[in-house]
Amino acid sequence: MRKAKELYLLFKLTWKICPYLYFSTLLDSLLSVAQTLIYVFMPKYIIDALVTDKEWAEILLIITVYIGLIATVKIINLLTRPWVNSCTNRSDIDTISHYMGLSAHTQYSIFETAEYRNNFESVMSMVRGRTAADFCAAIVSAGVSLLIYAVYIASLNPIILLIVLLAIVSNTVVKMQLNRLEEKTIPDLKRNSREFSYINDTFSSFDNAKEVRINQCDELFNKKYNENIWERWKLNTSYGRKKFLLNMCMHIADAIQLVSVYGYAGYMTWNGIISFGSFTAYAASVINFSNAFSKVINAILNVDLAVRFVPRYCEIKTLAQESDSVDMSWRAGRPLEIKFENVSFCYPDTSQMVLENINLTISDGCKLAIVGENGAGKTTFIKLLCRLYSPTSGQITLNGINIENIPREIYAGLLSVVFQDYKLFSFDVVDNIVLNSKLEEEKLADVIGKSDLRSKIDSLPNGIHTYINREFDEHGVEFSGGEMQKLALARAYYKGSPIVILDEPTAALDPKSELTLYEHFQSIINDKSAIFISHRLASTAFCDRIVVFSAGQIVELGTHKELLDLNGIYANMWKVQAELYTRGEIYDEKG
Amino acid sequence: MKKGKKSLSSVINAWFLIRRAYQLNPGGVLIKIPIIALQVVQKFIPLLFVREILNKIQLHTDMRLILYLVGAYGLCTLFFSLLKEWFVNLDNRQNEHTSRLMSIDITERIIKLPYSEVEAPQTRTFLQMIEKNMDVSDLLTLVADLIMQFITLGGLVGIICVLHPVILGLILLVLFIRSVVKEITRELWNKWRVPINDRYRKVNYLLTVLQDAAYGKEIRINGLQGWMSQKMSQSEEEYINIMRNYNKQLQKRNIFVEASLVIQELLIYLLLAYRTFFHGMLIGDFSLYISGISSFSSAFSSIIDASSNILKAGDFFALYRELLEKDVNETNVREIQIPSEITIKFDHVSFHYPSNEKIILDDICLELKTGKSFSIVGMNGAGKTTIVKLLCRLYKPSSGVIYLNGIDISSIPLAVYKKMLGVVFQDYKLFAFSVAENISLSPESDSNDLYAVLDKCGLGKKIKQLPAGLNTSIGKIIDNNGVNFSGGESQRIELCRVLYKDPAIVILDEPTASLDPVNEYELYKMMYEYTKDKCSVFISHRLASTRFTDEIVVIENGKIAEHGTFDELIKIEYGIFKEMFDRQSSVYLRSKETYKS
Repeated sequence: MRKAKELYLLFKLTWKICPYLYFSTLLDSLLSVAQTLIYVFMPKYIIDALVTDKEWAEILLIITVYIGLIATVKIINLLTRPWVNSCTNRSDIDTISHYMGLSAHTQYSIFETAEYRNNFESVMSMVRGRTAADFCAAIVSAGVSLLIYAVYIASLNPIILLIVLLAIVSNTVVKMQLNRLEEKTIPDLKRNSREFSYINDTFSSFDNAKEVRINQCDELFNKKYNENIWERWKLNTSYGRKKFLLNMCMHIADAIQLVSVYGYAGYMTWNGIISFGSFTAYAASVINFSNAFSKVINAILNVDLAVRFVPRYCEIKTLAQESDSVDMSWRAGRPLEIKFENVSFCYPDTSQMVLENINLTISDGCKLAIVGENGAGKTTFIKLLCRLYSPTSGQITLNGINIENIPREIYAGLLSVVFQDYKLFSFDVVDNIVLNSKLEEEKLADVIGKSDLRSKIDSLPNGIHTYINREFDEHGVEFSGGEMQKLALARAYYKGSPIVILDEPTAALDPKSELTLYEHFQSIINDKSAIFISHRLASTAFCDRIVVFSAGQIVELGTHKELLDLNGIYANMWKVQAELYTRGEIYDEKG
Repeated sequence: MKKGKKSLSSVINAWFLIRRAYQLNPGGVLIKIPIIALQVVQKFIPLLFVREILNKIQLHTDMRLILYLVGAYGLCTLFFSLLKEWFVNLDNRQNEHTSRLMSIDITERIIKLPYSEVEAPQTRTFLQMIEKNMDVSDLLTLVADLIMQFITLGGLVGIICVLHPVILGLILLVLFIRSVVKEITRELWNKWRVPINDRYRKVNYLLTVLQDAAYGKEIRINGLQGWMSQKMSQSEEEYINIMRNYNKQLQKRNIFVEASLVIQELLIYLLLAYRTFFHGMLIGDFSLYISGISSFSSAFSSIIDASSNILKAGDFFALYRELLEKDVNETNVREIQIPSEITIKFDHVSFHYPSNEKIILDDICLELKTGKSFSIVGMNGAGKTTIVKLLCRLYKPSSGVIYLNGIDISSIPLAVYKKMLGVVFQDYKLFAFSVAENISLSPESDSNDLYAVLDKCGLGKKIKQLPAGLNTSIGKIIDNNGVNFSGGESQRIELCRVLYKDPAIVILDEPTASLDPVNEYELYKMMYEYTKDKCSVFISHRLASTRFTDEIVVIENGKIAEHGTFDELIKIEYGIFKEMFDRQSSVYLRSKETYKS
């Protein structure tokens, strides 16, 4: 019963994604069935006519009819082939897009885990349009052939039909065992393949090209791939052995069937009970009956396998949706106040707390600087604020509402973020800055100016329509590290969200660019709320408030002056950095 | 004629690759022999047995003999099927093995390519083509299939000639038409291939981005799901459209093939019917000829398909072979003992990218020594990283020479030179392997040595605390139990890599960009101590760090603009360095007053 429901779900969702595929697959199958039927039955009439000494004219007529039928089927095939092929192509892409859409809406903390990805891949390969459409097409077309052939074979002798059915049933059982075996083995094979791809890609990819050429990585590479290849060999060996044993059973059944059919039909023909034409037609029918039956069984087995993944698909779909506690009608409005209330966090499957009992209020329009040593939890704090992860305990609220209950899209619209490991797309400058916002020429020009990109853009062959690398356009221009960072900042500026979050925004910039940017920060960020993580304390000095993280907790909080007076961690950091610029006192050895 | 030449070269390249496959995995090639033999046998068993059975029945031979024939037919089929199954099993395993060995072969070659070549767009396209295109084990299977079909063909020709040689002529004519059409189709594909691949690449890029964890943050934070989906629809439409148009063109040409097939079928039936009707041919023979001719046609068309597939991949084979044959051996190198004291001299070095005339570095003259540390500063894009790349031998100077102790560095064996280099680039990447492997870049390493460098960088305690310690995987890509390290921690692991290698030349490009002030200071202090007896080069935008170094070089527009010690440069009025330094320190100075008060 549950299986039926899952099957229905499979059809419903694949129909939604690619309804056209059902029709194209069905048409394709029917044409192929028609062709086979012609090849099986028409020669019978020609042979009989020859053996029973009919008129030459009659023989010619039968041959002409035969050829005419073949020609008709071929013509229909030719006319419909482009359409059928494009349906298949399209359904492949539509299916993957649908899945990618689902994964894109899943929370980052889940999305990045290997567990989700493995699951995702297997579901995507199983629960898709092709499986469902092939099933329907097979049932209809193969079903029709089955009926025709079964009736014909039974007319020879029902016992023969019985033997044929027995052979088929035995083969079906074997095939199911093969499927089960495959299901058990595939996860390991897939994992092994993924590892192999990673190993190969890592050492050959352009990203790692410098690293690989400066260091001697040969031995490491050898070790990694050797381990992988031999694991694969062993997996294939045991898998192959089991497959062979199962296939052996099938071949035996086929041989028995062969001997029965030819023996009996031969005997009947020898005794003149059936004609020669019929002999060949029966032999061909048996083969095609088995084929048709196999097609139907395969389709059922495939669907059966796929259906088992439907619950996992539903899980994936649920993960991609907003939870029920979300108030879809909530809308953002200034003033915006964010509160961390007793928030603690540790990464999934770990026990070490990365953040402990964080209590912080980020009021509307405040400029907050976050400092602390590496691993103190600064970036994790930001990730929680961005809802990439959920707190392990405690809650984060926006104007009193738990941010988990705010619609994701709305929340995303409230933040402009530049992470340390931001990513640009291989599109043009406009796309990378404007993304999915509306394009306003003036605003774009303003943002470009304020992020110190004017001169770079002016130097480009196609201006703002230049691609930022050569992946899609050979006239694309490679941007340097600093230029890319400015682009990422421009993106955040353009979005213009009320809360701006910048993680090491000037790490890759030279002093001149850095200073230019600081000068513009004020005018861009204006009265928005802003959060900076930066090790360059010069930038944090102009913030309203500074938060110091240490070992996952907030240890100091206050204005620049207050913290200097406190003479604690912040004061120490400031002293160390400032001294180097002013008197270089610490650096005694050089004098 | 050009087509012929191209086909010939495809064949030669294919042969080259098969030979290479044999070198890498002889078993994978040898296994094809029994496969071919068994496939041929399997083709002829039904043809011959059925003919005998039918003829004997028509001639009303003894029923028992006929039944023995049927039994023999069953047994032969069973025996050869089992045998083939067994070999197919071995073949599958070998195929995967061969294909992997060849992927690795390619990667090993790529690693040996000079950086400038790997960076060029043609190479990148080529590398993408390799991933998507024919596997070499597919090639082996195709060639084996080809040979099998040829042998089958031979046997069938014998059978058909007995019937009537004219039939052979007719079939060959039809097959000739088909091969002409196939050739035209190949031309068609060549015309359409690039635009189709272009559009496909766009679709593929979007799919990759959506799966990539790194892009995952951007997409979620900016709510780009809808936007990506729109881009995907656009790209998809373009791709589908172009494929449909291509297919339409393809079908127009296929009409000729199908028409000729129909005519062939007609003529054959007419001839066979004539023979049976007027010359009393037996039914068994009738059926044999029908099956035989159809097998002949399908064997021939398999040959044409396989050939055209092999030829289609000809371009790819050519590139593949080029890659394998590239001479990556060094020329003009001599064995050198590197002394512990070294001097590196940039002698009027200039550089521009091979495909671009724009001068990146102009007449650079520098001298680096063991025991001396250098800072290179300048605006973004001024050429700082390029100097480092030249020093690392990722590129060759366009003019001028870089000397090591008076020897041109390009004449030093690369393996020897590499050992002397320890570099951390701005855009370094850690591998998803273990911490130990990332630091030592070798399969085996001493944990004491590893902890020694980890402690120096302040990561020893953290790693010790991890459940898997040094064997913890970095990142969760391969291993679920892997650990994500923060930006600063990753940077320190990269530094550990350099420290572990203990090279004579240390180059650090923005080594502390992700570190907080206290740690940055600690690290610079440590690096200063450590590099006392090394030749070290630092690139940093934090000008305060230049105080740690012996000499500072200011690069502007590819030229050395200023050169000297910190004290010298800071005194130059309106000097570039002084200006930059003043700007950066201005904020601290302003606040320092606040602090003082």
